[in-house]
Amino acid sequence: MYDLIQIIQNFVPHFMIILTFSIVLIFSIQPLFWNLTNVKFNNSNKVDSLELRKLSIYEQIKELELEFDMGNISDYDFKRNRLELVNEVSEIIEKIK
Amino acid sequence: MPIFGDLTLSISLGLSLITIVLSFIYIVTKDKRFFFTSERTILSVCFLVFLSTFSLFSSLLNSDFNVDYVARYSSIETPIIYKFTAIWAGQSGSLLFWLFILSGYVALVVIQNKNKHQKLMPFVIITLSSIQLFFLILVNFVANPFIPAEANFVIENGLGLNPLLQNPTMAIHPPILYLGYVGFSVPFAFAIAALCSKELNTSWLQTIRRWTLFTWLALGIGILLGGWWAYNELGWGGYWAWDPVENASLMPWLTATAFIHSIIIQEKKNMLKMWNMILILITFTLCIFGTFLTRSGIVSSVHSFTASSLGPIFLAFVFLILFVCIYLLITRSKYLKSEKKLESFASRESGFLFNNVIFVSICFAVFWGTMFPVFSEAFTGSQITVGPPFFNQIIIPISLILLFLSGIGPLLAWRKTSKESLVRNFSIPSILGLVVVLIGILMGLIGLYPIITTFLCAFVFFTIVIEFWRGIKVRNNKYNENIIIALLNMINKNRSRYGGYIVHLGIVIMFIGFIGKAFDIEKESSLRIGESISLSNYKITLLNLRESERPNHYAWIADLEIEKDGKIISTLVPEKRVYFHKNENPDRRQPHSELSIFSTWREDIYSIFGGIDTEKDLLSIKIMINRLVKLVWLGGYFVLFGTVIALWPKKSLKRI
Repeated sequence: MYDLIQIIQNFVPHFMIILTFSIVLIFSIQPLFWNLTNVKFNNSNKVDSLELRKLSIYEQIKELELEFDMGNISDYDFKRNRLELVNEVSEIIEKIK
Repeated sequence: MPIFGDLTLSISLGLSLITIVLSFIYIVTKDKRFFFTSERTILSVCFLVFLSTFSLFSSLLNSDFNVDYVARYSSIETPIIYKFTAIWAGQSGSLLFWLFILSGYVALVVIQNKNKHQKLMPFVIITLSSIQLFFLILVNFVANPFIPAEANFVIENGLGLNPLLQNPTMAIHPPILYLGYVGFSVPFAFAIAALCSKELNTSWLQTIRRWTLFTWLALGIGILLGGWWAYNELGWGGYWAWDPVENASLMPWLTATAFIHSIIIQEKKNMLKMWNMILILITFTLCIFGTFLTRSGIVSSVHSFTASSLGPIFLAFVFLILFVCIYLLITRSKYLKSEKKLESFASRESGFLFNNVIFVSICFAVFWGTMFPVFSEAFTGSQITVGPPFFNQIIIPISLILLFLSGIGPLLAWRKTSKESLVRNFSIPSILGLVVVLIGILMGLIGLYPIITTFLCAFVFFTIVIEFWRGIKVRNNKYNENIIIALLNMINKNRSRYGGYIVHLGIVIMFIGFIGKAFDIEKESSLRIGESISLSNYKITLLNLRESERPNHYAWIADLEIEKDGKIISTLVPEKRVYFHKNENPDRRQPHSELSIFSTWREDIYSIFGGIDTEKDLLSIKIMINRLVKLVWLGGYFVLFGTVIALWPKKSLKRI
């Protein structure tokens, strides 16, 4: 009986190691057997990139207005920069459409 | 446990190779099963590396001296916290720790970007796996932390941890520094992926912006903590010595700082695409180069590991990275052309560009000074080392230009700033800066650099304060908010902008701290009990000399009383310790001076226990008065606070 307990006690660490590596193996190779017809990527395509650019320009317009309100930029600089940003965002919106 | 740790490292190596192969198969075949499998295998590698690291932790905590690493870097007397930190005390353990942090980052990237960036992610996985593979090769074949101890007897106790590393700062400095160093693998992987996939719009930049800011912060805090440790532990009275290993960590921080400024230009103006790409690729290359410097022994440093066979391997890896980067930059150059050009030198774009040039120039100067011994040996046959005077002479003036730019940047408009705006925005901070300098001169401020630095610090400080004040006023007028609410809302609505200003404020505070260095004084003396020395307006009296035996060292302790203008203000207790004092071999006993510092905002009284003549009861002591050092650390807190504000996630702006 004592020998049996000894054998089991010796085997437990080996069993744990084998179990760990088996789980890792199963976890790793599992996708090879998947049916992937319905899986979609949230892809960063051109439209997404334009959307990001659009949001960036919106933020720039907000920042420009803040700068103007703070008195950091002249009326001329503000109007010119704002017009350019508005034109750019209009072009982007057109492209997205 | 060591066998298990070793086994997990071997299997990780195989899986890492499989990950790279699977990703390549996906790129060629577009069969998504291979991509998902590569995601799983890279996560498995991370998991196995975690297990392996925990195995080493377990061996250290259980003092399993059958493992060579454990026997070398810990002992039964080593306090538990330092048994834990011993993992980065030696070459092989620190490489495993590097791999551990890298695996943490990799797991986070893979989980965070699941089902995103179809074109980028396979290349990101290949790049990150390749970096993992490199470190796995090292820990499997060159510096394995699980190698059994070579002894034909039972090792009852280990050699113990270096006393210099038995400091609480050393428990956090290396991991934070590693977080920074290793963290740049992620932006680097995305940059390589963007180049390989030719997806060079701004989306990859937006994905890595927060990563870069976090790793930049970690590296910066790591560098500062290193300075804190040097100041509080090494006993030479300074926090920065232009040591090659210190420089190795500074170089990637400089290029990363340039990068986090210049990506703003790319995001807003679609400019500097090539420049940004070069900066992030160089930053990671410098991280690996820094590791090469630390581990090769090519330049002598108080911090470096001993010379090892790792040097050539790291150098080969640096050249491989450079080759891949240069090849990709050349072949993708047509996709990296800027869509817009600079319109005026008086614009915020130019300000950012100048700032970038300065950062890169400082980086080059640091690189040149650090590598000069190697270059001089190659060309003249003798190694010539350039010391702090070289670095101070070159870098102080350039840094002052940088400080000036951080002040004028916010005053410049995008595209072009009109003359009237320039005059209006510059006049108040300039006048206030001059007033501060005049007050400083009246109070005894002397020397060209201290005066210029004071003016620039005041100029930048008032620029930032005026920016905050004007913003608060706008909100107050528009929304009728009180000052506190307006300030909080203003920061909340423009986190990156105002977080950036707070970081700049931190840098200004640090520079004020640096000015203090010019006014430091020191005195060395021998004292008997009851005798005093005077320094500045302080009188330091030796009250007592004591001895004490502690669990892991023996200590002589001096009780020093500090008097100022006849009033006792504090007591200092510098110590001379001998670690491993019970070791029969006297060569194994390690003496160490434990400093004692009395710190105020104005100055630190810094005492170093030089030695003791036990026969004559004579203490040899060094006292230093270091000015404004606390401001350097305070500046660090501002940098941390500002970066956290800039990093804080915000709700995306959907419409205006």
